[in-house]
Amino acid sequence: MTTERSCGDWWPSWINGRSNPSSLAGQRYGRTKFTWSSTRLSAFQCYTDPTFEPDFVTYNYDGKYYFSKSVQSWSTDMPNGYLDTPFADSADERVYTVGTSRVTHLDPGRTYYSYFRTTNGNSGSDSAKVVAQRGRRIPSWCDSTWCIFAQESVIYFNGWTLPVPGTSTMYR
Amino acid sequence: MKRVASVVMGLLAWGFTDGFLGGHLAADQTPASVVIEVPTGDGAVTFGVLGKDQRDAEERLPSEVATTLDDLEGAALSESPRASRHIQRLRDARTAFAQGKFNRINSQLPVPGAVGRQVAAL
Repeated sequence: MTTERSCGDWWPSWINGRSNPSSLAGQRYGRTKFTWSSTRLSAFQCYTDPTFEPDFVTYNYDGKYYFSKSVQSWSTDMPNGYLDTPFADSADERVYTVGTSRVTHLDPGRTYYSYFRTTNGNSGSDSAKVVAQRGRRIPSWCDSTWCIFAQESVIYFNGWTLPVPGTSTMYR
Repeated sequence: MKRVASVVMGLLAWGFTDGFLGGHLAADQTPASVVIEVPTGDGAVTFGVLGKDQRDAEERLPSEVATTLDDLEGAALSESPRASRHIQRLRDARTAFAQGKFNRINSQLPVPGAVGRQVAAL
């Protein structure tokens, strides 16, 4: 097995997390916004067939959850967006992810968003973190969520410091 | 958050239950999603709707897109400083969708070719 080359710091310069009741009664949404500097995005695009996922991860060790498990709707303005499957993820940390399979189509300095919406969970409050994940398409021609594999990740709001509902921004 | 080994195990399990145990669902009972791409002035916005079957997802598409844009625009308008390009992108998407300008995408299947997409202009 070959070792992947290192291209340097690839994660967004900042990430904003936000969650709120939806305009549709009985539902709630989570949204992340993020931006790469030219240096960071150049490094990211240097990796082989790179993909990106801003994982919105909620604390579920106590069985109390703001969002229900199933996503109703999702959206992103990143090119080649997809909803990641929660397959094989931990029940203690629920993960909601809308990513892009083509990091090479992103532009530096532009603010992108990812959004998901679920029905109400069993609690009115929660806490979260955001995990920026670099992935790789295998094979390179396949853009399906089933062809994207995690390579490396960086945690924002470590220690579950992103309030849910609420909003916060972290620079890295 | 997937790892290769997990996916391989999952696909094996899926193949076992679906193939060997005859667990096929009828087409109209299979959980489904609709994914569309709406052009904006400086790119595009993608929307996905999950439904209990294809008809459910298709029928909910207009209201789900409207709710998503309402949520996103409401959030953007409450933020300071205002992200004017972001807000304009959302408004472009609302206008284009209302005019029926969007492409249908099937990005969940491992389809080779033009970025793995199956695009059909409506």
